[in-house]
Amino acid sequence: MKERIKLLLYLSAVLLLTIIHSEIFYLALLLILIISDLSFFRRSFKRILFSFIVFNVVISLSYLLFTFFRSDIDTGYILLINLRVLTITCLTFFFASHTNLPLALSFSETFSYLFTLSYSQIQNYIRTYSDLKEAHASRIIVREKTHIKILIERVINLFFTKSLYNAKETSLAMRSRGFLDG
Amino acid sequence: MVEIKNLSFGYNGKTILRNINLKISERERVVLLGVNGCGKSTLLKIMNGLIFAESGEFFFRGLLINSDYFKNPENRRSFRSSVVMLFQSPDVMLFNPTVYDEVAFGMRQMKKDEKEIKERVEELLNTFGLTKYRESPPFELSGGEKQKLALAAILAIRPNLVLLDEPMANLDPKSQGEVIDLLYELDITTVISTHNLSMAPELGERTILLSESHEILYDGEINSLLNNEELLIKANLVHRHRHRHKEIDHTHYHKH
Ligand SMILES: Nc1ncnc2c1ncn2[C@@H]1O[C@H](COP(=O)(O)OP(=O)(O)O)[C@@H](O)[C@H]1O
Ligand SMILES: [Mg+2]
Repeated sequence: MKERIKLLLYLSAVLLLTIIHSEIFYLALLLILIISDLSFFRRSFKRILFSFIVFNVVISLSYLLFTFFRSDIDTGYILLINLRVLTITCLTFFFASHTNLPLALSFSETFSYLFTLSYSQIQNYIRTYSDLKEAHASRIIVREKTHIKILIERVINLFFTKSLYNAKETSLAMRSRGFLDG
Repeated sequence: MVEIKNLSFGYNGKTILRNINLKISERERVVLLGVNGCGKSTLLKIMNGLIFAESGEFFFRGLLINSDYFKNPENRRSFRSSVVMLFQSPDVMLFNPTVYDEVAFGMRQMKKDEKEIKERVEELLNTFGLTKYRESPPFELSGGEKQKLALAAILAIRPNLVLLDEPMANLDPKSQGEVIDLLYELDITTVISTHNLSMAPELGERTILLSESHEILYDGEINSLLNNEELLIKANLVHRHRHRHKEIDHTHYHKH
């Protein structure tokens, strides 16, 4: 029950963040979060920063691109959405580490099943990626520029074929357990 | 040839190898035995200089192998042309456009001449029954064929120490037999991991047994290990299950 309340709180906070357009509100929420578990944010600083930057680049770039043909680029607005993204990122990391997600989602069999599935899928990808990098390092005797290109191509290729294959396997497995038959 | 001293390693604060000590001499054939998750792949990656100990040391031919060692390109060249590893999943090892290029990859880096490369590649493709795929892209091969190709590719450069991570897992019984014979004929140092107790005697004379708590439980002759039921139970390599002989219902330990 507790986990479900946390989930509800998290979802309402995200909802509030997307409807309230106020820097003060974002900053306040951010501050409360960070103070409530300082050591967690210290530990996760790098991870949060990384995902923030990734989202940020995508969002800011698409906004800039969108307004490129109009002359009214609103820097205040860019600041606002960036702040919002940062708050949501921190909130999400905080929520994910302080909640037992499968338990929070247990009200719906489908949700918790999907969660476990995507979680193991992600773990699987991370492991494959590090194996790929290591296998590459293992076979490089003399470093050359072209080797990096080979590795990048390989990563893209493997993930593409692997995703396709996994998607097929997963849907078969779900069907076999009576999931997709409706 | 290899010496590991008081070595420990962990992922995300979780211990994966605990205080490992071992020595391997030239031409020894070592089997690394243990259940899934006990740290076999991790130990092999350490011996291949891919990841580095948190505490303790790994020496290869008397040289301390750590991240500083690889900063020198000459060191990298010398280590990588001498120590090779077959990964548990062969998919991650193959990144060349054709089967031929895959086997030639190492020798080309070593600037061997094309004639010598061609002879060696043809010889290996023939040994592993892959000649008909010479011009095919590696990803089109079956799991077992990929395994054999990856093995051919790492053996091509005539390494001194070969680390094989569960090399039998993807192979059908016939190929398993072939690969076992082939490894036997190679007169080099091998460390082969497996979780399969019945396979162990085929892969080497000396066995290093890892426990689920990531420590070395046993290091020695395979035969005396096979008779040590207590140890095998401790390593979770044997299990009890019920079965019936005619009308009599009983249970005993199984070595599979
Ligand atoms: N790249 C990694 N990141 C995090 N944990 C890992 C990674 N690789 C392996 N592990 C964990 O380390 C433990 C030992 O793994 P491994 O060495 O692959 O064992 P084995 O090969 O004996 O099955 C496992 O619990 C595994 O989940
Ligand atoms: Mg393994």
